[in-house]
Amino acid sequence: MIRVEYFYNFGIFVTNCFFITLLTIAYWRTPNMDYNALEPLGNDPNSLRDSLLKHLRYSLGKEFDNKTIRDVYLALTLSLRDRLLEKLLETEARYQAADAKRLYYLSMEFLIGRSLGINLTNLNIFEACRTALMDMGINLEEVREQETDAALGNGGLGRLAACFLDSLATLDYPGFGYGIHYEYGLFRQEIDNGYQKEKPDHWLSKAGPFQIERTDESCIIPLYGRIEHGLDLNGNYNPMWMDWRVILGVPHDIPIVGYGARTVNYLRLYAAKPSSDFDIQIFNAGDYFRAVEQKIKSETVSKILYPSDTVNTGKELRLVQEYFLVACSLKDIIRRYLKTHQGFDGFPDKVNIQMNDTHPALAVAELMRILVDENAMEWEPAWNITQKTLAYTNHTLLSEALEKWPVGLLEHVLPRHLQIIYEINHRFLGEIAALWPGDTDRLSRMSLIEEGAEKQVRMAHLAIIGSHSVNGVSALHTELIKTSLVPDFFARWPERFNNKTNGITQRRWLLKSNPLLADLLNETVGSEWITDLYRLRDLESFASDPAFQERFRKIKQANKEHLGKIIYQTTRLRINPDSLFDIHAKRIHEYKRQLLNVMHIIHEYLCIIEDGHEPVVPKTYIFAGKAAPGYWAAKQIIKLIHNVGDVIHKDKRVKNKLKVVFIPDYRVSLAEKIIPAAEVSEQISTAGTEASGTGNMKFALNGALTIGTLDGANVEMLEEVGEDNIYIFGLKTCEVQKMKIDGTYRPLDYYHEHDSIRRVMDAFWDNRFCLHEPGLFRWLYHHILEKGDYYFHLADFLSYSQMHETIYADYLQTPVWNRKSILNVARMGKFSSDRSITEYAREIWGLTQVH
Amino acid sequence: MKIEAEKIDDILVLTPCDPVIDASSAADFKAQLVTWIQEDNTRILLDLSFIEFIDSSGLGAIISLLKLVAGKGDISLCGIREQVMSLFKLTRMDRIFRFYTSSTEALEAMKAGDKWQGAGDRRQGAGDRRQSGREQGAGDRRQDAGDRRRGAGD
Repeated sequence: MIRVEYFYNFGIFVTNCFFITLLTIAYWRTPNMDYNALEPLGNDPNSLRDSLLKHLRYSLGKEFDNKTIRDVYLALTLSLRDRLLEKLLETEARYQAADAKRLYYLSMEFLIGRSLGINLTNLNIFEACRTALMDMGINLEEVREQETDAALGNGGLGRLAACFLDSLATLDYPGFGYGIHYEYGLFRQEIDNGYQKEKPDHWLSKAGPFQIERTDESCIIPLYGRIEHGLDLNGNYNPMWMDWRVILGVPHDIPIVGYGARTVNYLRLYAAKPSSDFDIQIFNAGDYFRAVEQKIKSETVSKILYPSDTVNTGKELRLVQEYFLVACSLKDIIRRYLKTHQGFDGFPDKVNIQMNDTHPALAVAELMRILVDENAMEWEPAWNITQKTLAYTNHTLLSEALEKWPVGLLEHVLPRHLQIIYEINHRFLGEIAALWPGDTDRLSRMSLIEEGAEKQVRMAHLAIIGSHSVNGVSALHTELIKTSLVPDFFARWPERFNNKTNGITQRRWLLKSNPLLADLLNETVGSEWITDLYRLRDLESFASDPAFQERFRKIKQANKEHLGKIIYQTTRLRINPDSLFDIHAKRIHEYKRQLLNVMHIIHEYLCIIEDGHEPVVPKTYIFAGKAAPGYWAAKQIIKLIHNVGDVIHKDKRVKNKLKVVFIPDYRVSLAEKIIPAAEVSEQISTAGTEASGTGNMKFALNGALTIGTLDGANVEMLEEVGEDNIYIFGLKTCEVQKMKIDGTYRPLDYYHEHDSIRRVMDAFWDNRFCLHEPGLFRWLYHHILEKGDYYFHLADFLSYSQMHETIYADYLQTPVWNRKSILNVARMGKFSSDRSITEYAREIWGLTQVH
Repeated sequence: MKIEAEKIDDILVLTPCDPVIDASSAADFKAQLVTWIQEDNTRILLDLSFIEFIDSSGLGAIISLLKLVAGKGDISLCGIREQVMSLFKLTRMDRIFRFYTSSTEALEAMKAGDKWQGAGDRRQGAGDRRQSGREQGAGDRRQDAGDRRRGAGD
């Protein structure tokens, strides 16, 4: 007989078998989870709308019905950031798989502007986003206006860096930007009674959440201290850097997406924080305020961008900023390199570092310090690695802009680096002495140390000596570097010197900022120009086509009307949209000669009211630009522009044929509105002063005709667009140089010989434009007539005026003008930053695209 | 700051027990070290196994220790963590001490009187410097630091 307990045990056995079987099946059927692989985010209107609504609720804690337009901007930015980060991680994985060589672009300035629009453009979701928002009753343009510019730069140098990042990503190059996370960007400019007033630009308080703080990748940076001279265990001299203070560099990453969204690189900006919240000892001693003072002092390193774009301030804080950038960047670069590589022998094969001007030139000494001090490398191999890794871009020919630091200051802030600089100099001069025996003048000229009442370190020399490549930024500039700026270095290392003409990104400066023109181009010649600007050459066959010209002209007119509204909003001046828009927009500086432009305007005004001349073309002269706060002459020129404008506008004899406008607070987002409306672009620097210019390229790409000197990239623009399609005037570089060397330039001669010049100069003396502030502009009379007119205003005045007459005559022939304008657009291919970056990648960095 | 002290043969093993030697504790640290040395302890092993962070004042205190025993004895260090070692390298203080992984290894070496154990690389690097003559250059450079400040014109 079968017992009950047998059935019970059998039941348990079967149940156990059942569960064991289930578990086994479950184990074998469950795939190993890859937590890195998530469903990619959608870019259609529905997906974008969902993202936005989710961020509104879960990131901002807002219901849709309670949202503000700013909430929408923040939620939209967060939605885009999700997509950017997704691509950034994919890009990094691709780079790692390829063990790609990486380029790190070090710059004290990145003039990024606004990011929302360019991110939408490059992600190719502009229209999808517009639709998604429209479906919710929201206007994308209103949302975009919520964004503030990230003005972490002064002018061309900073904007070049930003354009380069766009091109690096678009071309699928592993290229990254390293800079400083300034709390305050370039000041906001307000105008009060014609005078510039600077206001702080606390951009962070309004910045969108595109950036990500990476506190886990912070680095400790030592500064100050002293050298303790000692001997090592072998009795060799061993300098020890002691008693330094430290600050913490906290990185913030801004994703940079290339057009087509295949590649997202990053711009890493370092913010300075104190190493600990308080100096505990001071705090414990009861001196709370001194403890806080130390904290505040550390944080000032990244507090504010220095607002001068040509003159060296010589300030200690600026030196500290420069070292902070270099030290944080190199630490991070080396950390990344050593994650996947052993030893430094292969470092230059995997890393190249471009120094944007001499501001990061301390990278030469810092990299040597890291290799020799921290990694116990011998000097020669370390120097070999340093030179192969670093490259230098020069941006200026003005001697006052060449950076020098007092030896005493360097010794105080970076004592070990000064020792290293001495050692570099010692070995370098030894080489030079061997090559040119007995030539002590050459040694003196080339030395890293400049003699004088206060010895200075020549940072350009350090950068050149420590780099395998030195480039200028236009063909003319590079020639002048070789022949007059540093000819001794060219004689020593001719192979290092090369030209890389500047460029601009057509994505921001045409596709995004001039959508009407971009659409016309896409319709006419296709959209390949967006990633290959040379394709605009196909437009040439339409240059004389009346139908195409009409559409082209209408777009220009629409842009002018749009700018007219902005001018009215910001200045309360009404301008005639049918007048010729002649625009001079750039930093205010004597070498850029806004003064020459104003002198010509005064001349035109006097021709009307004193000669009864009737202008053939009504004109609106538009100025925009900031002056460095300490640059008195530049600020006086801003005042002059306003005063001249006021007098002209009130004079009924002018009959509104002439208007002068100064649009305040020139910045990237304003440039995007001004440039598409321009018909004449003023690029009138004294020949031999402007290294390249990039505003010249932006205006021409949008159909403006250039009146300019043969300076910087204007020379190459002439070659590309043809002499019929550009208005070149004035002295050439060689002529200016000759007159300077021979001392043959006498402004008084021009004053006495030419009525038109005399009349303009007398107007400065006679208070015509400063009735209520007599004598205000007499300094101009003295400055030009008695102090030598350093920038040759009078020498170029007549040819400048005559060229304007030619321009007006052409303007009246609409088909001729339109053809020239279209040909400018068609022939700007060379001036894309894509071309510049391709050349840098091929000839300097040895970089490979990683698709 | 609490420092444990243990005498093994004629070697004094000092082990700071706090994780940080910084401005707030460096003075006390240094004072204690001075006291030990004044009690005729000239062979010292500093065990830094507990130290997670040291700042420039802490490093300065260790340097002063070396100066105090200079010529009369020797100082060795052991148990250095990576973060702390990076600060020694930054200051080039890694070239003036002998480093060991553990106190056991250090004591063995010190008892054996081996004056040159530790990072093999550094031995080769030092050898090179002696052979290349850079050593003399480095010595000259220290004396010439003032000259060089006058620049190339001299």
